[in-house]
Amino acid sequence: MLFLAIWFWVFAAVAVPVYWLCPQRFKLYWLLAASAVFHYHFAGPAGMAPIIVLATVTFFVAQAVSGESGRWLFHAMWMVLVAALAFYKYQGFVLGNGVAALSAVHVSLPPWLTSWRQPAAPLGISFFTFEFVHYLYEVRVKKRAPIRNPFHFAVFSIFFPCLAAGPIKRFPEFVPQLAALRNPSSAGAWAGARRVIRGLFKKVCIADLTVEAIKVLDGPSQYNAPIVIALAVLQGFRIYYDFSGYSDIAIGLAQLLNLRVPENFDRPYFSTDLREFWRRWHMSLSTWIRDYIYIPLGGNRAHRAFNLVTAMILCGLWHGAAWNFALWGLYHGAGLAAEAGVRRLWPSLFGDGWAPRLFGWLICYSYVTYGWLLFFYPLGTVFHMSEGLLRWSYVG
Amino acid sequence: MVLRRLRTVAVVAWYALLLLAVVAMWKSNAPQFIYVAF
Repeated sequence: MLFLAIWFWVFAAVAVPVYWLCPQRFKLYWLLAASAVFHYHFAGPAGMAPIIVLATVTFFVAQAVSGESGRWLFHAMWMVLVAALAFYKYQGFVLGNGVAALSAVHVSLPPWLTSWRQPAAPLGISFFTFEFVHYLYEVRVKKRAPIRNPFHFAVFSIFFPCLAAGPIKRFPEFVPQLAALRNPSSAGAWAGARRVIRGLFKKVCIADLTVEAIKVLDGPSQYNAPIVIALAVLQGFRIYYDFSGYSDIAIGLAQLLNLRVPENFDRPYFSTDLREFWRRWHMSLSTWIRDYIYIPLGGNRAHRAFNLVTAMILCGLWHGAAWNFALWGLYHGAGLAAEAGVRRLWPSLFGDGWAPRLFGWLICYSYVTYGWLLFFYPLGTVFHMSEGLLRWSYVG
Repeated sequence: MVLRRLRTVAVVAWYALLLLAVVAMWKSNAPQFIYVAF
């Protein structure tokens, strides 16, 4: 339940005021202790172990790779981080599909393989592994100075407002703040409290209510266009208000501690093209994908369409180990690549006048909204829904 | 001055109302945040 658990609000009601009352030299340690308590409560010792091990190794490896040597160590370490993510998140998907494929060609498999159960993924693994890869890349490739203070790195790793689901922090912006922790001004604290309340309202009063509406509409004997359109629009509202609500709570809590973390949303549904949408949707992830996958692949310099599609498929798979997420990523990658081609051939279609902007918004919103069906439903259901889009008559 | 105070009172009242709505609609079995599962 995290931010929706009563335990969390009791914890926050103690952790934040005690932080304010702490003398400046103790604030860092209190922040670390509070984050550890939060982590222990929600993840347990087994859930904490992977992040402690990976954070410790990443901290020391970053010191080693910051000089001229250590190229291989850098590559080995980011691969270890990706392997840890894959181990916890994708082994069930890979084994399940592998077993199904081998069974289909009548290959006999040992019982332990067919009955293998994937262990539960540690809390926030998708987020902290991305933060560690970012940290190593910045230190090694961008030649930034590594974090020398282990307490700073520990707070960067398990900072409780962002631990479970981001926003994905960037160490050059976050860590310098830890060197001079101060209480927020009364205006800053009030702004943080308002942000937290807005986030709770988005989640409890809009996103969860949307879920109820989806339950009422979903599962007809036969899908038709009005129902499919309504479901797609509602799923779009649900995910926006759910995740931007979560992000508001995380950013607001950080503000209450006088710390800035990245923004995640900037009114994405007002975007007039897909490129703009991805600059305004889950910004801390989309900029990560841009900086650490898309640009290293070659970015706009060469085979741009391939880079876009690859980066977006990986973005889709990051959300979960299932074919529908891969297809959702492919769908957005193909859309971005097609849009880049159209922009090159007919730049006037993307002009500043109201007509191209309205037309662009309509296309972009429709494209993104159809994509939520791929995101939320299994492929078979999406197929039936897509058939239903051609049917306007009601069948109860 | 009076206008500024009125505005402050209105903002506080608005957020109190939002908080009241949250408390009223709070469910112990509410769906988990979507992205926590990722």
